[in-house]
Amino acid sequence: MSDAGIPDIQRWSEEVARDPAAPAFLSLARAYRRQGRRDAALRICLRALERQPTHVEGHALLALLYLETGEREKASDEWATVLRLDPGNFDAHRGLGFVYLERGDYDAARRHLEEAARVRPEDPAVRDALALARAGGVGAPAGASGGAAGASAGADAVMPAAGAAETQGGAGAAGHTASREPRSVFEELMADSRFLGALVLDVRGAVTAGTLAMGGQGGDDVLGAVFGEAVEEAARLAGVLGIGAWQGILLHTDAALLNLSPLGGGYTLVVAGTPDAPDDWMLRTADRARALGRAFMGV
Amino acid sequence: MSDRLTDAVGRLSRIPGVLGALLVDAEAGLPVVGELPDDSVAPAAAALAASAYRRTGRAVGGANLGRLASFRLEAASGQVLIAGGGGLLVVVIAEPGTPLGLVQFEARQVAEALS
Repeated sequence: MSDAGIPDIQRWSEEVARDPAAPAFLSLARAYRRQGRRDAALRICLRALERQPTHVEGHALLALLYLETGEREKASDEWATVLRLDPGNFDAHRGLGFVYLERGDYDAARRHLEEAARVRPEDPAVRDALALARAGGVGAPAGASGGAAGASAGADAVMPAAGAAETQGGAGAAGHTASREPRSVFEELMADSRFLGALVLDVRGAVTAGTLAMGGQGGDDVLGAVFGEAVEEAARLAGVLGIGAWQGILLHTDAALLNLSPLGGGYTLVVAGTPDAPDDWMLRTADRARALGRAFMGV
Repeated sequence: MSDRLTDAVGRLSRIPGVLGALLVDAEAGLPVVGELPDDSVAPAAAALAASAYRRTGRAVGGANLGRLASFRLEAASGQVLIAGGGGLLVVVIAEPGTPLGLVQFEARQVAEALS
C-alpha cells in the first residue's frame, strides 16, 4: 500500500483547488501517480508549472509521467528543463542518459550517465548503462541486459522502471531534504510499493516530520504518542536485562512491518512497510530513511 | 500444562545464540516459567516486556495497523523477541547478531500453540 491516506488527498486537493501552484500540488500529483491516475497527475503538474515554471521537482515528476505513457520526447524535454534549473540533477542526467542510449547516441548517453554516476556512483543501473554507453552499445555488461547485444535491446534492459527515478534516498537525495516541507521528507521512498511511510517523533512522541499512508486523520499523532511510551519501556527493558542501549525495534503486525530506531538528538524514527516485506528490506529502508531524517532534522 | 510450558522454554533456550527465554502472563506482567542468565531480573523483565507489548499492541491497533504478532528489540549487547500467544507472551533474549529467523519461527510456534 503506497497510497497516501484519503484525508491527505482530500486536503491536498482542496489546497490545489484554491491555488493550483500550492506546494501540495506535488504531493497530490505523486499520490495520483501511485494510484495509477496518471492523467490527473499530469494535469495537476501542468497547471502548477504554468504558474511556477521553475519548479524543479514538478518538471522531474512530469518527465516521469511522460516516460510512463511512452512519450519519451516530452520526458526528455522535461529533463532538459530540470537540468537548466538544476545542472547536477541526478534523475535528469540518468533519464536523459537512458534515452540517448536507446537512440544509439552513445556520446550523449555517456556524458549524462557520467554526470549521474558522479552524484551516485553506487547506482547499479547507471553503472551498467554507462558501461554499455562506453562500449558503444556493443554487448551489455553482465547483469545489465541478460546478454542482449544490440544497442537498443541493451538500453531497454537497463532502462529503469520510471518510478525508480524517485526512489533513491542516497546522499544526493539527503542533500535536498532540509528544504522540504516536514511531511514530504521521506517521499523519495514512496515509489517502493512496500514502503508505507515514516515518522520522526520528538522526545514527547509528537510527530515532527513525515507521515504514514495508513495512519488516518490524527492517526500519526496518536501513533507517535503511544510509540513514544513503548520506546521508553523498551529502553527500560534493555536496561533491566543488561543488554545496553536500544538500537531498534521491529514490529510485525497483520497489516504492517514497522521499525523504530533512535535518530539522534532525542528523535525517534518510525518506518512502516507492508506486512509481507522482508526484515532485511525493512532494515535497509530504515537506513535510507534515517539518512533522510537526519539530514532534515540536522542531527 | 506446566510441562508443556517448560518444554517450550527449553526448546527456545537451546537455539544457538539464545541466552534465555521466559513465558509471561500478558495481563499481569508476571513470569510464568523461564530460564534467564540472571533469574533475579525475571519479574522486572516480565513486567516491562508485558507493558511494552501491551502498549505497542494498543498503538498499532489504534492506528489500524492490525494485531501485533511480534516485537523485536535490538540493543547494543543483545536482542529481545516478544511474541504474543493467548494470555501468554513468549520472551526470548539472544546474543547480538544472532539470526533471529529460527528464534522468531519457534517463538511464534510456541505462541500459537499456547493460544
